[in-house]
Amino acid sequence: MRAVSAGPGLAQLVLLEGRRLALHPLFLAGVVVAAGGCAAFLARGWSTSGWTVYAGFALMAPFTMVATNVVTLRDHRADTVEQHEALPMPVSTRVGALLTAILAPTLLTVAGLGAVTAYAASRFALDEVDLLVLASLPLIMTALAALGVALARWMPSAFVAPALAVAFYFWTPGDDPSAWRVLMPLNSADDTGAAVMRLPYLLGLTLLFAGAALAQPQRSRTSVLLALVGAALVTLSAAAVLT
Amino acid sequence: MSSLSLENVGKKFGSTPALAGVRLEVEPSVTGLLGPNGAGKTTLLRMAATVLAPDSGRIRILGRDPAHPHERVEIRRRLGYVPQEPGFYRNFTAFDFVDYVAVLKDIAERRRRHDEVRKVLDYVGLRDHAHQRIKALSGGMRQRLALAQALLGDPELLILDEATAGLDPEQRLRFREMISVLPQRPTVLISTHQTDDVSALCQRVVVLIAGTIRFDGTPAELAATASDRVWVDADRDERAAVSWRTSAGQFRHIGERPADAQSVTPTVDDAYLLLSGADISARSS
Ligand SMILES: Nc1ncnc2c1ncn2[C@@H]1O[C@H](COP(=O)(O)OP(=O)(O)O)[C@@H](O)[C@H]1O
Ligand SMILES: [Mg+2]
Repeated sequence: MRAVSAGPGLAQLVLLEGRRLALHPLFLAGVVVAAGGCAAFLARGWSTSGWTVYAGFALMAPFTMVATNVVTLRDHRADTVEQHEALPMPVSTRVGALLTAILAPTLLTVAGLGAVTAYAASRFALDEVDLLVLASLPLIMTALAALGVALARWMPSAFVAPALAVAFYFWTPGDDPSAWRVLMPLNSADDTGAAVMRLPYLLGLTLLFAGAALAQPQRSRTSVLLALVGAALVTLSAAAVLT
Repeated sequence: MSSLSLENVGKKFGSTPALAGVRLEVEPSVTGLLGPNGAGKTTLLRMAATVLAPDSGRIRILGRDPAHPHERVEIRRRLGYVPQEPGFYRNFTAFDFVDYVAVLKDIAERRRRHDEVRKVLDYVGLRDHAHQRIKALSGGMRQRLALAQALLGDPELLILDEATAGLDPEQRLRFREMISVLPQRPTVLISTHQTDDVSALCQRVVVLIAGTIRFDGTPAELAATASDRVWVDADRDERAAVSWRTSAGQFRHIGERPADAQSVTPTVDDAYLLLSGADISARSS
């Protein structure tokens, strides 16, 4: 049995969607925020303002989440759901392409973050926790971007993702972290153990949200597998962070 | 082989039957589906476009079964569909939108795809507007854009749901011209509630009223069903099923012609009104 139009069509769609995401005004707004954080650090040094780099890049993630949400809701907004259903490419392939296209803004972020980290490391002593926390930033982006797609698939409304983005911002602990809030995606970590465990945790969230996005309207083996692996990673690493 | 075949197809929305026992074989030609609003035209065309399944009966499209997932994909590769209210990504340019649809239509290779996109945009006369955003295009241009995306990949079956609605007379002429001179000669199934579309464009006309097929034949044959049942008079004739004042100031009547009235040559319009008008009187009695 021939696989239904995966292959070259999927690759082309990933390119189209990736370009659109990377040029999306909301993603670019996130870039501006991250650039602001980097500027603060450059003006005042790592010891006092290193956190602004983290905060700036972390805030790109909710912006990107709303961007992927808006892009996924395109058919809903334009009333092209049924029109495009009459075309051969199945909706699961299209959602898969969108999820894969998250790599475009993520890779751009990795490049920017890498440059800033390299510069900071050449001038200041970055410790292990600093590096791990910076390494978690691209995964925060993939997790929230995948969540943006999943929300659009399950709750096709333009209000859900922006509301959640704001909520994430306010739920992220400041000086007084209560237990569950430690697990908020935008959170940072203070010790090596927690910083290490946040990496599989965020990866797990990414897979879980991707699986959820692919499961609507119809569960497939891929969607279930992604969601199960994601849920397992999330559970194990969350348990490790909380204990 | 017929391009589309419906056997005893029925569909209900809640308790409203939209289609009841429809039997239809569509051969390669331009076939018009004529009927008043609510007749079930859109329901039938959505089924032909593989986006709606019947409650009962059997459909085959281009010799394949749309209920079967893999055959459905094969149908969709060979299908062009313009829904009654086509949607657009308003912030995309015309080119980008059609290009996007082309990817969904499995035209993967980039250069071939772009050639194909340019070809269909040229065909519908949008070459000069290809890089304009869709929200800046006029209604008539969008209608043509909807046709362009349906023409991607030279479909064997082209389904157009009221594609001429909302066009001005000149645009309608252009639109009909585009449909009738398609180089690959696909089977075209076009719904309309306007009889002049049918007379000008269709080799065959199917009249659908209240979910059932009431006529199936050529436009001339449809007109002939009203022969001897159309007459013109200076005053309104109460015996007519349908009558209206013409631009010449006379009354045109359709129905059982009284012996004293002089019959005139019927048009497709007359025959259609006779069919649907008879239905109205049947319902009100
Ligand atoms: N999605 C739907 N939900 C409920 N009723 C519908 C739906 N689609 C069509 N109908 C009903 O089915 C009948 C046929 O509709 P439709 O196929 O749209 O007719 P047409 O295209 O000829 O105007 C109408 O009575 C309409 O109200
Ligand atoms: Mg309709």
